[in-house]
Amino acid sequence: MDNNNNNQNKATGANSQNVQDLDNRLEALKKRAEEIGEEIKEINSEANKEMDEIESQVEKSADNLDKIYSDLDRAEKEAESELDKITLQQAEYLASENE
Amino acid sequence: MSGSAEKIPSGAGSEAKKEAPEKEAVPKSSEKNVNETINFLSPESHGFFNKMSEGGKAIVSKIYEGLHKIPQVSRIIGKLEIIPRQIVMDHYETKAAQKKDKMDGVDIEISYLEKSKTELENAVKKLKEQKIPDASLQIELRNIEKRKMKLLNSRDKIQTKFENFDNKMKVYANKRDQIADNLIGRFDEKLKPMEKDLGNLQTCKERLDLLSSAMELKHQKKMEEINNLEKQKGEIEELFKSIGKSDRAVKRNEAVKGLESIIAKRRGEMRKDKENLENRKTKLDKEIAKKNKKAGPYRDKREEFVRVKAIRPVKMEAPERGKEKVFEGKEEIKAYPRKEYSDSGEDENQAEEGGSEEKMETGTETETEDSPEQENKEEEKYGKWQTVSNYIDSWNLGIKNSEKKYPLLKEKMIDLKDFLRTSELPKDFQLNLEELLKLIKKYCKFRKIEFSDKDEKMMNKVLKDFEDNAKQISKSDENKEKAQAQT
Repeated sequence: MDNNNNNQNKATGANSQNVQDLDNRLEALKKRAEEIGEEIKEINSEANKEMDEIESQVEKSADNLDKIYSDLDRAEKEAESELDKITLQQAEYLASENE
Repeated sequence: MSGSAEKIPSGAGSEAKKEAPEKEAVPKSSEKNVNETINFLSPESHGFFNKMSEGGKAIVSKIYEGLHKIPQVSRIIGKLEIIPRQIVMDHYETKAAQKKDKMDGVDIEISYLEKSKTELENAVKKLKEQKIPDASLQIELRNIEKRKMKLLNSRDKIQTKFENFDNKMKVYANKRDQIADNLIGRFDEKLKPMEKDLGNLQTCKERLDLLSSAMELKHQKKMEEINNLEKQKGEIEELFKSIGKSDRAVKRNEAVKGLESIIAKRRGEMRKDKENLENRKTKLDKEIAKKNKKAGPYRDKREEFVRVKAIRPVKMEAPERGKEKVFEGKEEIKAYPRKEYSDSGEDENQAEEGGSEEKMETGTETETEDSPEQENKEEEKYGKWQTVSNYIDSWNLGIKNSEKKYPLLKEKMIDLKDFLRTSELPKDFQLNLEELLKLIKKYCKFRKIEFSDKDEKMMNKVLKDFEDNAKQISKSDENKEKAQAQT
């Protein structure tokens, strides 16, 4: 009877040890998962920083381009207006020649 | 037709206009056409257009008809290309070509006359050799000259008109070119920085792509690590079961639950981060693509402006005309003395009388007219004997004397000091009248003083009279000196 109790005690002791080990391992995994989380945050933060910089450059160039396109449109309009002016003058002159 | 076009209601006006343009010099414009035309004009031109004559509006409507088919964005190209073609080719070029054809026709006629003249001259020569009378042929020759003169006069007028149309065409082409040049210049000015900014965008895009790829790899690696953690968790769970723990007990294990939660959270976070970064990248990509797309038409337009400008008016060359030389000779007037038919003695006497008559005449002639040899000698002696200051002073004096009668002539006085300074000639520089006139013309052009052909003629006359007077005075002085020397 004592032997059985001893054996049972020994088995229970071994079990506890294993559970403890497994729990420890789980804790280690949890810790690593937390660390990964921090690393992901850092990756994300760096990526967003880079994105901010690129976005700022894109915005700057885009604004410049909008201004250039606007200037070119204005140049066209002014040229068109000049052309209309000389055309109307010529037309009136031609009309007077024909009369 | 033109009358009925006015009565037709505006809806059908354009049709009537299309039917009748060839027959009318000035097509009629309906209200509809005018309203449509005004849509093609820049707002600044509306006021001018509304004040134009009906004829002018009609011409504008016709010119701008071609713009219907051109989209709004390319309208400037249309105006640069079509309008000059309409105005230049339909009007000036056609008219210039018509005049050129007429001129060529007249040239052919003149060449036929020249040919006839040469043949006639040869015939006259032969008749002269054979001592056959040729007076009528001489008259015919003169008639040919008269006809040639008429043709040349007519040709002159036609060529003047041709040159006028040719110049008008070129003036318009130059105006259009100037506008095109300004536009091309402004485009070139702006396209350079545009390409630079587009280059920057391209660089940003490439950097974005690189960042995105790097992020992808990093996330992938982290995901692998998380998957590894999950795998290890699964192994531990199995181990728990192997030591007698039930599924339920394993699932309720705080450490297991905690780890599961963290793993799920990490996965969620990564997915969200990835999504956010992707969205940002997509947005930037779109913006870059949009700006790139907008650049294309501006690049194309610049090339189109250059190509349109390369369309030139047709070159029509007319020969350069020179000034006709003025015939400066005079018809010699003769008394036509007649010899009396008698014996030799009387003949001799008559010869003497005739001779004396001739001498008198000669004497008379020398008073009124020098022989060509004497004239050449005079030219040598007096050709450049007048100085710049003498000429200009006499011109100014002439104007001053006529001031009361012709007050406006005062503007034609020449400032001698300024003339000498700008021409860098000394005041006693000797020259002839032709040389002086050339200098005066150039001086007036330099000083922006109007000096027309009429002014030149007047100056020539005044200074010639001055020269002649001076020669006369000089000659009489010489004669006096000679007479004194003889006595």
